[in-house]
Amino acid sequence: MPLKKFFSWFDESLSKSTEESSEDRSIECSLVRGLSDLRNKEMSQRKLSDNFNEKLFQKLERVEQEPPTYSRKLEIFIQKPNSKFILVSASIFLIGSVFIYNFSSQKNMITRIDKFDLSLETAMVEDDELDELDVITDLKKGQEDIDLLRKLEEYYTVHGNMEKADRVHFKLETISK
Amino acid sequence: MLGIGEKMTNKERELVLLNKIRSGDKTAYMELIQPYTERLLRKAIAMTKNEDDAEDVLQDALVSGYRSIGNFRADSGVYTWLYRIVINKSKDLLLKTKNRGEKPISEGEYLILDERMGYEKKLELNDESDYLIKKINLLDDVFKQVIELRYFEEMSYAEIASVLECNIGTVKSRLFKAKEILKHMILNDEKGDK
Repeated sequence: MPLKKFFSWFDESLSKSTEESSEDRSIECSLVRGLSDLRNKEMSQRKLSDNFNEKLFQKLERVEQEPPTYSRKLEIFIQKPNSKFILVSASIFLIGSVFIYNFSSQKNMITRIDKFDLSLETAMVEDDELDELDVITDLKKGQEDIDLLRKLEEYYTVHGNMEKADRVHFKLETISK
Repeated sequence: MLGIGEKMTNKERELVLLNKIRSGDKTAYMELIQPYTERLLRKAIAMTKNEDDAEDVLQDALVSGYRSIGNFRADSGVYTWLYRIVINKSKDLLLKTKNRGEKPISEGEYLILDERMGYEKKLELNDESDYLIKKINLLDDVFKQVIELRYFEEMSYAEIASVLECNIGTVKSRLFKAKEILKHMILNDEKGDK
Protein backbone atom coordinates (compact mmCIF):
# COMPACT_ATOMS: atom_id res chain seq x y z
CA MET A 1 0.00 0.00 0.00
CA PRO A 2 1.32 3.41 -0.96
CA LEU A 3 0.51 4.98 2.42
CA LYS A 4 2.26 2.20 4.30
CA LYS A 5 5.23 2.52 1.97
CA PHE A 6 5.34 6.23 2.61
CA PHE A 7 5.30 5.75 6.37
CA SER A 8 7.99 3.11 6.25
CA TRP A 9 10.14 5.44 4.13
CA PHE A 10 9.43 8.26 6.57
CA ASP A 11 10.40 6.05 9.52
CA GLU A 12 13.60 5.03 7.78
CA SER A 13 14.61 8.60 6.96
CA LEU A 14 13.74 9.70 10.47
CA SER A 15 15.80 6.96 12.02
CA LYS A 16 18.64 7.74 9.59
CA SER A 17 18.65 11.44 10.47
CA THR A 18 18.55 10.61 14.19
CA GLU A 19 21.48 8.31 13.66
CA GLU A 20 23.38 11.08 11.87
CA SER A 21 22.74 13.62 14.55
CA SER A 22 23.80 11.15 17.23
CA GLU A 23 27.06 10.69 15.32
CA ASP A 24 27.51 14.44 15.25
CA ARG A 25 26.81 14.59 18.94
CA SER A 26 29.30 11.86 19.72
CA ILE A 27 32.00 13.60 17.63
CA GLU A 28 31.25 16.82 19.48
CA CYS A 29 31.48 15.09 22.85
CA SER A 30 34.69 13.28 21.91
CA LEU A 31 36.30 16.53 20.78
CA VAL A 32 35.33 18.34 23.96
CA ARG A 33 36.46 15.44 26.17
CA GLY A 34 39.63 14.59 24.25
CA LEU A 35 40.98 18.10 23.95
CA SER A 36 40.06 19.10 27.49
CA ASP A 37 41.88 15.94 28.62
CA LEU A 38 44.93 17.12 26.68
CA ARG A 39 44.59 20.66 28.02
CA ASN A 40 44.31 19.57 31.64
CA LYS A 41 47.32 17.31 31.37
CA GLU A 42 49.34 20.07 29.73
CA MET A 43 48.28 22.55 32.38
CA SER A 44 49.57 20.26 35.09
CA GLN A 45 52.96 20.04 33.37
CA ARG A 46 53.67 23.52 32.06
CA LYS A 47 54.81 25.96 34.68
CA LEU A 48 56.40 29.35 34.32
CA SER A 49 59.85 29.78 35.80
CA ASP A 50 59.87 31.24 39.32
CA ASN A 51 61.27 34.60 38.34
CA PHE A 52 59.11 35.03 35.24
CA ASN A 53 56.91 37.76 36.73
CA GLU A 54 59.84 39.55 38.29
CA LYS A 55 61.73 39.59 34.99
CA LEU A 56 58.66 40.78 33.13
CA PHE A 57 57.99 43.58 35.60
CA GLN A 58 61.59 44.77 35.28
CA LYS A 59 61.19 44.86 31.51
CA LEU A 60 57.92 46.76 31.82
CA GLU A 61 59.63 49.37 34.00
CA ARG A 62 61.80 50.27 31.04
CA VAL A 63 58.93 50.42 28.56
CA GLU A 64 56.50 53.23 27.80
CA GLN A 65 53.10 52.83 26.19
CA GLU A 66 52.74 53.97 22.61
CA PRO A 67 50.28 56.85 22.24
CA PRO A 68 46.97 55.77 20.69
CA THR A 69 46.60 56.37 16.98
CA TYR A 70 44.35 59.15 15.74
CA SER A 71 41.61 56.67 14.74
CA ARG A 72 41.77 54.99 18.15
CA LYS A 73 41.53 58.37 19.91
CA LEU A 74 38.46 59.11 17.84
CA GLU A 75 36.95 55.73 18.75
CA ILE A 76 37.58 56.34 22.45
CA PHE A 77 35.99 59.77 22.17
CA ILE A 78 32.92 58.39 20.43
CA GLN A 79 32.54 55.59 23.00
CA LYS A 80 32.22 58.05 25.89
CA PRO A 81 28.56 58.64 26.86
CA ASN A 82 29.08 62.43 27.14
CA SER A 83 30.63 62.51 23.70
CA LYS A 84 27.64 60.69 22.27
CA PHE A 85 25.36 63.36 23.74
CA ILE A 86 27.59 66.15 22.41
CA LEU A 87 27.75 64.55 18.95
CA VAL A 88 24.00 64.03 18.79
CA SER A 89 23.34 67.62 19.96
CA ALA A 90 25.85 69.00 17.46
CA SER A 91 24.27 66.96 14.65
CA ILE A 92 20.79 68.17 15.56
CA PHE A 93 22.04 71.76 15.73
CA LEU A 94 23.80 71.41 12.38
CA ILE A 95 20.80 69.85 10.66
CA GLY A 96 18.54 72.51 12.20
CA SER A 97 20.83 75.32 11.08
CA VAL A 98 21.02 74.00 7.54
CA PHE A 99 17.25 73.60 7.43
CA ILE A 100 16.58 77.10 8.78
CA TYR A 101 19.17 78.65 6.46
CA ASN A 102 17.71 76.88 3.43
CA PHE A 103 14.18 77.77 4.41
CA SER A 104 14.96 81.43 5.05
CA SER A 105 17.04 81.88 1.92
CA GLN A 106 14.35 80.20 -0.15
CA LYS A 107 11.70 82.41 1.40
CA ASN A 108 13.85 85.48 0.85
CA MET A 109 14.34 84.54 -2.77
CA ILE A 110 10.64 84.03 -3.32
CA THR A 111 9.88 87.37 -1.68
CA ARG A 112 12.48 89.09 -3.82
CA ILE A 113 11.18 87.53 -7.01
CA ASP A 114 7.59 88.40 -6.10
CA LYS A 115 8.54 91.95 -5.28
CA PHE A 116 10.58 92.22 -8.40
CA ASP A 117 7.83 90.86 -10.65
CA LEU A 118 5.25 93.11 -9.07
CA SER A 119 7.46 96.13 -9.38
CA LEU A 120 8.37 95.28 -12.92
CA GLU A 121 4.70 94.92 -13.82
CA THR A 122 4.05 98.31 -12.27
CA ALA A 123 7.03 99.71 -14.12
CA MET A 124 5.73 98.42 -17.36
CA VAL A 125 2.26 99.82 -16.78
CA GLU A 126 3.48 103.21 -15.60
CA ASP A 127 5.78 103.84 -18.45
CA ASP A 128 6.70 107.41 -17.56
CA GLU A 129 7.89 106.47 -14.13
CA LEU A 130 9.97 103.60 -15.36
CA ASP A 131 13.37 105.04 -14.56
CA GLU A 132 12.34 106.14 -11.13
CA LEU A 133 10.92 102.87 -9.99
CA ASP A 134 12.10 101.57 -6.66
CA VAL A 135 12.79 98.18 -8.07
CA ILE A 136 15.37 99.54 -10.44
CA THR A 137 17.11 101.51 -7.76
CA ASP A 138 16.91 98.47 -5.53
CA LEU A 139 18.78 96.42 -8.05
CA LYS A 140 22.37 96.57 -6.98
CA LYS A 141 23.73 95.45 -10.28
CA GLY A 142 24.25 92.05 -8.77
CA GLN A 143 24.82 89.14 -11.12
CA GLU A 144 21.82 87.36 -9.63
CA ASP A 145 19.47 90.21 -10.53
CA ILE A 146 20.92 90.59 -13.98
CA ASP A 147 20.51 86.87 -14.63
CA LEU A 148 16.93 87.05 -13.50
CA LEU A 149 16.23 89.96 -15.83
CA ARG A 150 17.85 88.09 -18.70
CA LYS A 151 15.63 85.11 -18.01
CA LEU A 152 12.61 87.36 -17.93
CA GLU A 153 13.64 88.93 -21.23
CA GLU A 154 14.08 85.48 -22.69
CA TYR A 155 10.70 84.44 -21.34
CA TYR A 156 8.92 87.39 -22.95
CA THR A 157 10.83 86.85 -26.20
CA VAL A 158 9.92 83.19 -26.33
CA HIS A 159 6.27 83.96 -25.58
CA GLY A 160 6.14 86.63 -28.24
CA ASN A 161 5.69 89.56 -25.93
CA MET A 162 8.30 91.66 -27.66
CA GLU A 163 7.23 94.92 -26.13
CA LYS A 164 7.85 93.68 -22.61
CA ALA A 165 11.02 91.93 -23.71
CA ASP A 166 12.32 95.23 -25.09
CA ARG A 167 11.51 97.00 -21.89
CA VAL A 168 13.34 94.44 -19.86
CA HIS A 169 16.24 94.64 -22.26
CA PHE A 170 16.23 98.40 -21.83
CA LYS A 171 16.30 97.98 -18.06
CA LEU A 172 19.13 95.54 -18.37
CA GLU A 173 21.13 98.08 -20.33
CA THR A 174 20.36 100.71 -17.73
CA ILE A 175 21.58 98.49 -14.95
CA SER A 176 24.69 97.50 -16.85
CA LYS A 177 25.75 101.16 -17.25
CA MET B 1 30.71 51.43 38.93
CA LEU B 2 30.54 48.33 41.08
CA GLY B 3 30.93 48.64 44.79
CA ILE B 4 33.31 46.63 46.95
CA GLY B 5 32.05 43.14 47.52
CA GLU B 6 29.96 43.10 44.39
CA LYS B 7 31.04 40.43 41.97
CA MET B 8 32.44 41.65 38.67
CA THR B 9 32.38 39.65 35.48
CA ASN B 10 35.70 38.91 33.85
CA LYS B 11 35.00 41.48 31.16
CA GLU B 12 34.22 44.18 33.72
CA ARG B 13 37.34 43.31 35.67
CA GLU B 14 39.40 43.59 32.51
CA LEU B 15 37.89 46.96 31.64
CA VAL B 16 38.69 48.34 35.09
CA LEU B 17 42.27 47.07 34.81
CA LEU B 18 42.63 48.42 31.27
CA ASN B 19 41.70 51.90 32.43
CA LYS B 20 44.31 51.68 35.19
CA ILE B 21 46.95 50.38 32.76
CA ARG B 22 46.28 53.17 30.28
CA SER B 23 47.02 55.65 33.03
CA GLY B 24 50.41 53.93 33.51
CA ASP B 25 49.72 51.34 36.22
CA LYS B 26 52.09 48.46 35.46
CA THR B 27 50.93 46.37 38.38
CA ALA B 28 47.45 46.42 36.89
CA TYR B 29 48.93 45.01 33.69
CA MET B 30 50.53 42.16 35.63
CA GLU B 31 47.14 41.49 37.20
CA LEU B 32 45.44 41.57 33.80
CA ILE B 33 47.73 39.01 32.20
CA GLN B 34 48.07 36.74 35.24
CA PRO B 35 45.19 34.34 34.38
CA TYR B 36 46.52 33.81 30.87
CA THR B 37 50.29 33.49 31.17
CA GLU B 38 50.44 29.71 31.56
CA ARG B 39 48.03 29.11 28.69
CA LEU B 40 50.07 31.47 26.54
CA LEU B 41 53.29 29.75 27.56
CA ARG B 42 51.80 26.47 26.43
CA LYS B 43 51.07 28.00 23.05
CA ALA B 44 54.60 29.40 22.78
CA ILE B 45 56.14 26.03 23.74
CA ALA B 46 54.01 24.26 21.20
CA MET B 47 55.20 26.61 18.50
CA THR B 48 58.85 26.95 19.40
CA LYS B 49 59.23 23.45 20.88
CA ASN B 50 61.72 24.85 23.33
CA GLU B 51 60.76 25.91 26.84
CA ASP B 52 63.47 28.57 27.17
CA ASP B 53 62.66 30.10 23.81
CA ALA B 54 58.99 29.94 24.69
CA GLU B 55 59.49 31.96 27.88
CA ASP B 56 61.50 34.57 25.98
CA VAL B 57 58.81 34.75 23.31
CA LEU B 58 56.15 35.16 25.97
CA GLN B 59 58.07 37.90 27.78
CA ASP B 60 58.56 39.68 24.47
CA ALA B 61 54.89 39.30 23.58
CA LEU B 62 53.71 40.62 26.94
CA VAL B 63 56.03 43.62 26.74
CA SER B 64 54.73 44.34 23.22
CA GLY B 65 51.22 44.02 24.55
CA TYR B 66 51.89 46.60 27.23
CA ARG B 67 53.48 48.95 24.73
CA SER B 68 50.53 48.82 22.36
CA ILE B 69 47.75 48.62 24.92
CA GLY B 70 46.63 52.15 24.05
CA ASN B 71 45.43 50.85 20.71
CA PHE B 72 43.86 47.65 22.04
CA ARG B 73 40.12 47.36 21.51
CA ALA B 74 38.69 45.67 24.57
CA ASP B 75 35.87 44.08 22.58
CA SER B 76 38.20 41.46 21.07
CA GLY B 77 39.10 39.99 24.48
CA VAL B 78 42.43 40.18 26.27
CA TYR B 79 43.30 36.50 25.85
CA THR B 80 42.58 36.51 22.11
CA TRP B 81 44.65 39.65 21.67
CA LEU B 82 47.63 38.27 23.63
CA TYR B 83 47.28 34.90 21.87
CA ARG B 84 47.75 36.62 18.52
CA ILE B 85 50.79 38.50 19.74
CA VAL B 86 52.32 35.23 21.00
CA ILE B 87 51.68 33.57 17.63
CA ASN B 88 53.33 36.46 15.79
CA LYS B 89 56.32 36.57 18.13
CA SER B 90 56.76 32.79 17.84
CA LYS B 91 56.62 33.02 14.06
CA ASP B 92 59.23 35.77 14.16
CA LEU B 93 61.51 33.58 16.26
CA LEU B 94 61.01 30.60 13.98
CA LEU B 95 61.80 32.74 10.95
CA LYS B 96 64.93 34.10 12.59
CA THR B 97 66.17 30.63 13.45
CA LYS B 98 65.31 29.47 9.96
CA ASN B 99 67.23 32.37 8.43
CA ARG B 100 70.18 31.60 10.68
CA GLY B 101 69.96 28.00 9.51
CA GLU B 102 69.77 26.73 13.07
CA LYS B 103 66.59 24.76 12.81
CA PRO B 104 64.69 24.08 9.61
CA ILE B 105 60.97 24.65 9.97
CA SER B 106 58.34 22.81 8.07
CA GLU B 107 55.19 24.26 6.55
CA GLY B 108 52.56 25.00 9.14
CA GLU B 109 54.93 24.52 12.02
CA TYR B 110 53.24 27.31 13.89
CA LEU B 111 50.12 25.18 13.98
CA ILE B 112 50.71 23.63 17.28
CA LEU B 113 48.33 20.75 17.26
CA ASP B 114 50.21 18.34 15.04
CA GLU B 115 53.56 19.27 16.58
CA ARG B 116 52.23 19.24 20.09
CA MET B 117 50.65 15.88 19.69
CA GLY B 118 54.03 14.37 18.94
CA TYR B 119 55.63 16.39 21.67
CA GLU B 120 53.03 15.47 24.22
CA LYS B 121 52.90 11.74 23.74
CA LYS B 122 54.36 11.29 27.17
CA LEU B 123 51.17 12.84 28.57
CA GLU B 124 49.53 9.42 28.55
CA LEU B 125 46.11 10.37 27.31
CA ASN B 126 43.33 7.87 27.54
CA ASP B 127 42.73 5.63 24.53
CA GLU B 128 39.78 7.59 23.20
CA SER B 129 41.57 10.95 23.40
CA ASP B 130 44.74 9.49 21.94
CA TYR B 131 42.80 8.00 19.02
CA LEU B 132 40.95 11.27 18.38
CA ILE B 133 44.12 13.34 18.47
CA LYS B 134 45.76 11.00 15.98
CA LYS B 135 42.81 11.54 13.68
CA ILE B 136 42.97 15.32 14.15
CA ASN B 137 46.62 15.11 13.14
CA LEU B 138 45.55 13.80 9.76
CA LEU B 139 43.44 16.88 9.01
CA ASP B 140 44.62 19.80 6.89
CA ASP B 141 46.14 22.72 8.76
CA VAL B 142 43.11 24.99 8.32
CA PHE B 143 40.87 22.39 9.95
CA LYS B 144 43.34 21.61 12.73
CA GLN B 145 43.50 25.30 13.54
CA VAL B 146 39.78 25.71 14.08
CA ILE B 147 39.51 22.46 16.03
CA GLU B 148 42.30 23.57 18.30
CA LEU B 149 40.95 27.07 18.86
CA ARG B 150 37.43 25.83 19.48
CA TYR B 151 38.01 22.77 21.64
CA PHE B 152 41.47 23.24 23.08
CA GLU B 153 41.45 26.99 23.64
CA GLU B 154 37.67 27.03 24.14
CA MET B 155 37.28 30.21 22.09
CA SER B 156 34.00 31.54 20.78
CA TYR B 157 33.40 31.78 17.03
CA ALA B 158 34.01 35.53 17.20
CA GLU B 159 37.31 35.03 19.02
CA ILE B 160 38.45 32.41 16.52
CA ALA B 161 37.53 34.75 13.67
CA SER B 162 39.60 37.45 15.32
CA VAL B 163 42.63 35.15 15.72
CA LEU B 164 42.41 33.80 12.18
CA GLU B 165 41.46 37.20 10.75
CA CYS B 166 38.48 35.87 8.87
CA ASN B 167 34.73 36.14 9.31
CA ILE B 168 32.56 34.06 11.61
CA GLY B 169 30.91 32.29 8.67
CA THR B 170 34.28 30.96 7.51
CA VAL B 171 35.02 29.71 11.03
CA LYS B 172 31.69 27.88 11.21
CA SER B 173 32.07 26.29 7.81
CA ARG B 174 35.66 25.17 8.49
CA LEU B 175 34.60 23.70 11.80
CA PHE B 176 31.69 21.90 10.20
CA LYS B 177 33.92 20.47 7.47
CA ALA B 178 36.56 19.45 10.00
CA LYS B 179 34.00 17.53 12.02
CA GLU B 180 32.57 15.93 8.91
CA ILE B 181 36.00 14.70 7.84
CA LEU B 182 36.69 13.39 11.34
CA LYS B 183 33.34 11.62 11.35
CA HIS B 184 34.07 9.94 8.05
CA MET B 185 37.53 8.89 9.19
CA ILE B 186 36.10 7.32 12.34
CA LEU B 187 33.24 5.63 10.47
CA ASN B 188 35.70 4.19 7.96
CA ASP B 189 37.77 2.80 10.82
CA GLU B 190 34.62 1.23 12.31
CA LYS B 191 33.78 -0.41 8.99
CA GLY B 192 37.36 -1.66 8.72
CA ASP B 193 37.14 -3.18 12.20
CA LYS B 194 33.97 -5.03 11.26
